[in-house]
Amino acid sequence: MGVTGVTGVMGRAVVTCQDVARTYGRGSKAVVAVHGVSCTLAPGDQVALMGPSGSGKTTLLHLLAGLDRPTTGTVAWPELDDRPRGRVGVVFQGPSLLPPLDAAENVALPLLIAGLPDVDARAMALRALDSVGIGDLAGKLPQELSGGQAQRVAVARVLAGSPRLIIADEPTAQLDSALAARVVELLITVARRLTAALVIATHDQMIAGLLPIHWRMRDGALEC
Amino acid sequence: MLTILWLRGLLTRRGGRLAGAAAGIALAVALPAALGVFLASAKATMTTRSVARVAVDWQVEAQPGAKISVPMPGTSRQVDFAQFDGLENRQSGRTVPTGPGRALGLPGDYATVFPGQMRLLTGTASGALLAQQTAANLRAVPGSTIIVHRPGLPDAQVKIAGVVELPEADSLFQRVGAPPGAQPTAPPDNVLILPSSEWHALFDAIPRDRVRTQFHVRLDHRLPPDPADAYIKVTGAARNLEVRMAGTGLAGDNLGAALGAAREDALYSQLLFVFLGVPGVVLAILLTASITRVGAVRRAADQALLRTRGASPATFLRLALAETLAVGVAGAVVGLGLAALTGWLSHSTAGLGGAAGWTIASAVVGLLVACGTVLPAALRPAGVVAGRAPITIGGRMPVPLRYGLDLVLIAASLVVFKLTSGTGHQLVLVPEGLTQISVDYWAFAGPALLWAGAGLLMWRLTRLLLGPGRAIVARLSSPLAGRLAGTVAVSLARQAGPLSRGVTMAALAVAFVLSTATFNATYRRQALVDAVLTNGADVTVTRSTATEAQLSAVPGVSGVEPLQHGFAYVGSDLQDLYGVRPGTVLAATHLQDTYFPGDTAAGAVKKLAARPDALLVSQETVNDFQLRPGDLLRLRTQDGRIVPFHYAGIVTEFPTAPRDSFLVANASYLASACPGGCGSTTFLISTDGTAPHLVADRVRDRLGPDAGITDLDTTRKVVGSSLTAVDLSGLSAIELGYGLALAAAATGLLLILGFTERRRTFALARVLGARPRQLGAFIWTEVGLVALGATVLGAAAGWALAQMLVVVLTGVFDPAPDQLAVPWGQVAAMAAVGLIVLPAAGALALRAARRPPLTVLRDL
Repeated sequence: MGVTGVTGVMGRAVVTCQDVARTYGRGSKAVVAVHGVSCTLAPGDQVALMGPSGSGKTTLLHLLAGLDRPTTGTVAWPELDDRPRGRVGVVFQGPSLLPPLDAAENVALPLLIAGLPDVDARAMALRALDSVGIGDLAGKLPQELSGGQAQRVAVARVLAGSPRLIIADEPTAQLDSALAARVVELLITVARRLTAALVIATHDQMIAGLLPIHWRMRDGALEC
Repeated sequence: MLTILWLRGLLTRRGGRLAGAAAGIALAVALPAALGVFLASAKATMTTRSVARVAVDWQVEAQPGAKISVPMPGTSRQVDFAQFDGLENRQSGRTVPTGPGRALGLPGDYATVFPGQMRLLTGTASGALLAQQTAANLRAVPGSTIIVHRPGLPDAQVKIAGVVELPEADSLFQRVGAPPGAQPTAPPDNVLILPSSEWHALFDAIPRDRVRTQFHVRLDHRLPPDPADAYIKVTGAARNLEVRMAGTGLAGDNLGAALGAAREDALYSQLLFVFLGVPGVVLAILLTASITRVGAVRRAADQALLRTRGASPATFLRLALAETLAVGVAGAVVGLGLAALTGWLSHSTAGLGGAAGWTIASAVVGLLVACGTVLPAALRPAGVVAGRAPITIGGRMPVPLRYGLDLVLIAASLVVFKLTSGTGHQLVLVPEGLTQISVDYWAFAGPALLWAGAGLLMWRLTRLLLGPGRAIVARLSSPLAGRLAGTVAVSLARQAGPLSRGVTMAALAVAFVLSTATFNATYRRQALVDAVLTNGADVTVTRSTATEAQLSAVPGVSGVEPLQHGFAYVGSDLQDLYGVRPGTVLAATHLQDTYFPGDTAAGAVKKLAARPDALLVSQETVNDFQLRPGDLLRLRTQDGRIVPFHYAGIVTEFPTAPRDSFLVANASYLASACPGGCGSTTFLISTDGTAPHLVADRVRDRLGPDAGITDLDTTRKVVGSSLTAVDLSGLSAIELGYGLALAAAATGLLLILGFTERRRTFALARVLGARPRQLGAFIWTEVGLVALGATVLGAAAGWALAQMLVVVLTGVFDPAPDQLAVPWGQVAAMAAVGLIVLPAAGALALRAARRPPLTVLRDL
């Protein structure tokens, strides 16, 4: 069954999945994580991806982000000219900052990877940190940050890259509810500012309630 | 149950870290154990060779007027000595006389019991024999009848049956019981050897003060393998015999003297092994500690999980002890196995059992290393402590560096080195009359302090490069990293702790290999130089009328250099006088710069070439006669001619020359000053690569038994100390093997373990869009830093340590080297290891970083 975002602005889709399946392992040890998924996300779509543990949420997010390849079916990123590398913002569930780099350097890293000059990348990183309200933490190392601060830095990293698609895999799992709401609101604000499609995987109904579209996964399949 | 479960988990999930730690311990065990096996084998070889080189173990001499009634141990034969006034050979109307000499009376089976005492050159051994020199003096051959001028008795006639060489003439004609300084400077020129019955017929009636009686003894050669133990046993037995003889006789202990020299060499070799081996062991310990530290963060995480599940401190201790024991025992067993394998591969005569002390000590070292490295890490992972402090760039130096301990240690090393390497310093002291020899262990402090200081200095320099000097790192990485260069440099700077330790370890490993290899190469070269100094060239011919052209025609000969040898008086002092051809002597033999104080070999020879009457003299002569360059020196030849020379320089050593005073001049000038010749000609023969002893045999066949022919191969066995006789190539191979293993571990293993710990970082970077080339920038820059640090810092430290080792252990060199020998083979091996291991480590890391990042993140 296919699903489509409904809040998106008109234009080319950011990402489309056609009958996508992902299987890990082979033979008797094969595990089907995702199967028969078809979906489309347009710019500005904001989706809460829900489902029990092991239902295939993370696998689907990775497929959408271009971090994994489907075993069958196709995933396409029409608005990204099918080149998702470095153009999809990802916020992970656990710590995702590089330990030897400070907050500003972590935010600047994808920009440098993309080929921006050092000075420009740093300026953009500082602006991104300011915009998520943690400009004063620019010189702090990940080990000196709290969980909430680290996730804000991760959001700033996404913001700095101006992605067309933002994927967040349970970004609030290790945060208290008040902080979790603030982080998700921040992601929504950022996505809105960039007119980017946003998908947040979560178990939390309160978080899901902040997003207009709800996708549900069960046993690897996507339900409307 | 929990312990077994935990260990099983460690083995399956953290096997690499455990194996790495066990490998480090194995190296720390294997190196000393292998050295112990080699040392035990070397000592046994020294004892065996010392015993084999002695022709007669004891020469027990009856005191004048006394008769020895005590039975001799082992196998003994009575030998009688008589002094005669002269010999004469009358042949076809011509009389050739010689001066006084000695006549020996030997039993018929003497040559069988003491085969090393005589070597038959021509004729038969049954009957009267002449020593080679005597036969040459008399121009006697087998069948000649010579006249013996007996003191107080009419002349007697003896028919010569053969001509023999007496290789051990010095000890044969020693003055038994006299101290070393009172021994004759040379054996008698004229020696006649007679069957006992004939000797008694000729000399029983001569005055008794011209006769001596000795018992030559061959002992049971089942001696302890260690020369020191064998020396104590043999000398003790000799004293016991003297006590039992109650003044009727004295024992000349040739075997004890040989073993005494060997025990000194054995101690030197032990010092050598310790000097060269200990740094390797320390390095292996540091390596083990570094390996255990690499996994600190993950270990801390593992332990945190245990703690949340209620593990008590006692449980932690039990688990830590189990891990320590497992790693320690595994490392010790593998290490001893490696040592046994090394011993087998190097054909050592002693196995692990033969070096029981070293084996046990090595195994204990292994367990202690495990307790000192694995146990603390298992009890309290460093990451737990380190995690509390932010990683700041160019932060405070570690405490030892903050207080300048590196510079203090290096300065202290230089002071100690200066004090312990001064003129006359002896590392090994052999007190006169004592069985124990002592070692000045204080001399060890110089290299030990330098090792420690150099290690700390490397650590400081690496930290400085990574911190304040990270702009250099960024520049170095920019070809690969591009715009990421700054990020790469910052990333490395924040890992300055483990990275600087890794670079230091790699540099120390390189320094270890280079310093030991340089020392060993220099040692081997000097052993050869010593033999060349004694023999003069590959093959040396004396007492021959052969011409240069005849010798050049012998197969295997590539060059022949005549060297004039005579004697001349400087004042009242008779000295050896050598005449050389300045144009060719440098190419014909090995002349070291150190032989010419204040000058070089080429410079001294140039002075000879510049002035025909130039003369090189000894330092002693310069001092005695207050000579200044250009001074006129009148020498008197043995036939009374006065020959003027001009003092041109100092010479302390010269091929074939004695250790004391001698003179070196132009051969052409000598020839013109002494038309009849100022002495004889010695030919220095260079071979074309053919073994010198083979060429010597060919020359001997051409020239006959009268010519004196010596070769380098034989000389190396005869003149070299027993230490020289020990093949150091085995030691070099052991040290090179272990050094390369240490270097590979210090570079490759530490890098791979470090990269493994940073898999998450690389995976995250890939998620952020980093391409393999960009990941490679992080990896290859780190690899490059290790390579650069190991090469530059390791080479510098290795060179400095080799310089110091050569000076501190100068006692093992004879003559002292004028420069270090570069071990190109080992340098190439070291470079090859680096060229294989470092790229391999980088390639493995890059391959791991290319794995799908989500798979990596999920697995971690």
